Amino acid sequence: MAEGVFQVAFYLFSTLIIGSALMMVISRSLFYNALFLLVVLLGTAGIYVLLNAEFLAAMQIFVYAGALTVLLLFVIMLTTGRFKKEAKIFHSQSVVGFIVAISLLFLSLFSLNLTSWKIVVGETSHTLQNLANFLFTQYALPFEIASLVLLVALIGAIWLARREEE
Amino acid sequence: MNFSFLYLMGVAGVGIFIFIALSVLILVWLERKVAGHIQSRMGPMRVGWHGLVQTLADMVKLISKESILPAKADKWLFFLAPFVVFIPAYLSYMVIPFAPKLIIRDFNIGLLYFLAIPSISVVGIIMAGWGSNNKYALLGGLRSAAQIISYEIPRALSVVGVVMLAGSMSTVTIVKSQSSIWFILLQPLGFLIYFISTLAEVNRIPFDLPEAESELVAGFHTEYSGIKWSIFMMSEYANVFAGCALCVVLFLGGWHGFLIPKGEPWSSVVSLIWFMVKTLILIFLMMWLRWTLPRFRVDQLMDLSWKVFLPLALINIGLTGLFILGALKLFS
Amino acid sequence: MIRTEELQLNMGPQHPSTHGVLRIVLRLDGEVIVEAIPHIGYLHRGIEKIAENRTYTQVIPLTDRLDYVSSMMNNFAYVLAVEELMGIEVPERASFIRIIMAELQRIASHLIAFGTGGLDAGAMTVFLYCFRERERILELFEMVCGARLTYNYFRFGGVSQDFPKEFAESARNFIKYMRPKLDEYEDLLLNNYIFQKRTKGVGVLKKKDALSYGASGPVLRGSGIKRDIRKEKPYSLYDRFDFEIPVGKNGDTWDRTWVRLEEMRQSLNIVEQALDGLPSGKVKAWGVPRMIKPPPGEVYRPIESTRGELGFYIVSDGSARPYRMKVRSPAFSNLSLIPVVIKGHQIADVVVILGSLDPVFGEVDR
Repeated sequence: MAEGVFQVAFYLFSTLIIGSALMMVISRSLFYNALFLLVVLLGTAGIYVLLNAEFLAAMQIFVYAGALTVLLLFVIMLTTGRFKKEAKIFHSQSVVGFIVAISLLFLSLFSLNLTSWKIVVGETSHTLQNLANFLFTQYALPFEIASLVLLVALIGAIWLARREEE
Repeated sequence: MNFSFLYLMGVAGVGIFIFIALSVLILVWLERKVAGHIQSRMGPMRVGWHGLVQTLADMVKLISKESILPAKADKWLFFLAPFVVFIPAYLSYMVIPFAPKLIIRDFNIGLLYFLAIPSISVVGIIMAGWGSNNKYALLGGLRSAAQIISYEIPRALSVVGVVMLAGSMSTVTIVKSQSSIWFILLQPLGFLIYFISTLAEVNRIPFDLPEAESELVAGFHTEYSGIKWSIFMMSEYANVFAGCALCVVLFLGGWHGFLIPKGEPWSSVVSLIWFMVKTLILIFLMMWLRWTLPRFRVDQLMDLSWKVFLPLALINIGLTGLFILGALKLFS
Repeated sequence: MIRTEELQLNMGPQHPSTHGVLRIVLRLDGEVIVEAIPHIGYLHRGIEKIAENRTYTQVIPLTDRLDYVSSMMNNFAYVLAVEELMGIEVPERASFIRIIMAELQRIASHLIAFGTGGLDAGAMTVFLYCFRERERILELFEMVCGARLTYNYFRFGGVSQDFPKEFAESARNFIKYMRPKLDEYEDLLLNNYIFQKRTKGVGVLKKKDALSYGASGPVLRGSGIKRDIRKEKPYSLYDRFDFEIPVGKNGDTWDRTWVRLEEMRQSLNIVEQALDGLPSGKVKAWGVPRMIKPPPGEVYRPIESTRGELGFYIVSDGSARPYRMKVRSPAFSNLSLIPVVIKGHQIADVVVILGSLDPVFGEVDR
């Protein structure tokens, strides 16, 4: 019974994600694209919840749905004049885009194939503490490096935005 | 997960909705009364005892009003925006522990969930601003986005201290760990930052810039009328209540209080009353501030968030860490 | 590179906080104002032209409709100008009454400016308090002349009627009531951290700009120029009163608001002195003809109205009607500063700065 509900929820979320991802690409208004992206991200958060990764789901909403989409919308609104014309789907860059997309698809399929999917059986309710333990002991260095990369990106972005003012 | 669980969730969902509707009716009345008395007026007096049913009458009026769609507005965005704003406000009630065992769902990341959910409502506000095809609404939406995102960060950081003290992100555990001492005594700075950031998150003076009437007419809901407008209003007050309730949970000991009988069937009820009284005191404080203070300008608001509250919140986390280490050293 | 699009925003003529029917077209870069162009004329009634077809006495009620927030002042200025043209001597008691009314009017008008200044910054309560106090002044006016907004109280050679018996006591009570209230407002608004953040250094009006744009009144004094016609070229009996002229330092919005509050205090002093020294006697000069026919000539008589230099320029051709009447309205000149003081600020500042210029559109458009 419980399995059934889980299945239904999974397929619901998957359809939602794929459908709105398609809409995101097809839709002509930039604003709508961003909104469909939001739906995709929220759907992904839903999948995380189904996988008992509640922390990840909350962070997904917090960072991606909340901050990132809003930032996108913000930029679209501030530069509204430039995107008045509705975007075309097929244009000169579609061939390049197609090639990139296909290669990305194969790359991800390849890496999916390589990973050995261990099934964890047992207590998974304390995901938060486990995550914290791993992040600050075993994976402390990669964690720090990742934050450094983000910091560099941040500084770079500020610098780029600043240069024009002078 | 099974069907009885879904059934229970359904009942809880309807329950929250009724609760929000009722609390909004009372809060709107309270706001008008508080405003009136602060401004040496009476406030609503005609409908019901001291105007108690005034909000209900207003609600009936709003429902029966024509819902106007502005020319060239984006129909879908305009229609959906109020709901996108309301649903997160509604969902945030899921993790509020009103009394022992009176909570819809006790997540182990309940606090994080509560802080993350409002960020979706920002999208709704932006949709309203963009969809209205009105420049004032657009500016209101922009301001709101900037404001809520900026204050999310100090708000989230200000509760880290509480999480460190309680050792959990579950709202129930946080309340339980305050049975001996309320966290406001251990985390005064955290409380201050949280409360002020909450003021900003729920768009109230001195931070009510998205709907600053003197500049932007009514901000993002300039073009809204009738039932859609009232949904915005409802989510605003729902957010006020939820924000204050969480403040009580985090810093003011939640349902704890004096004179709570142990083990009696009505001890839960007394706890609930304690919780409600604390929340109402905070809400009254918010209203008091609203009718006393002028509002900040948008850049000052940002400065306050990034240059004052963010560093203070980080310092608070550091101090809490030192405090916990010291306490561990002392008592071990 | 990120380049933001400029946005053109039309503020008014219907907008909750333009203090009347002002329309400002703003060009915005984000929230920063690149250019602000005021458009006026939405309340133009042609009062100056109408006056040419009215007898001199009939013009008095017309002047009420100029600056409807301080009608007494308009009466005062117009009546003084015609009296100068006619060479009428005003009895002492009448002059005292006029000064009492004018100063009460100044308080009433500044209360609106001060309160709406708070409202523009988001503090609604101060606004309602100010209206509560203004109500008491309006009651005093009603007691004297029966009207609350357009008084039509002044006459050539005096005022239409004497004070009722109970007026002096009510006015004294009001002064006693008002003084602590002003301290309260200073604490509530002027000393408020947020209000100071909103107004200090905002809308700075340099001395040079203030002079070259012909600013006057609190706007000019806020910029640090000590100029008050009551002191400089005393009209009526202002030279007999002892009062200070408050002067701002930086010329920002806060200074202008502060000047208004301080002027209210000074006005209370003047009213008190006038009540103390109120002489007995007639309230109307004897021998003023029913039909006013000033000798041919012209006159310009400025007074220090609530908003600055309010002057009536009247040309008489010897007939019963003014040949030409021109109103030098302070609000118009002060309003012309908008493009100067608003540029470079944010939308939120527009209303605050506009409020501190305190325009009344009955006077701007005439």
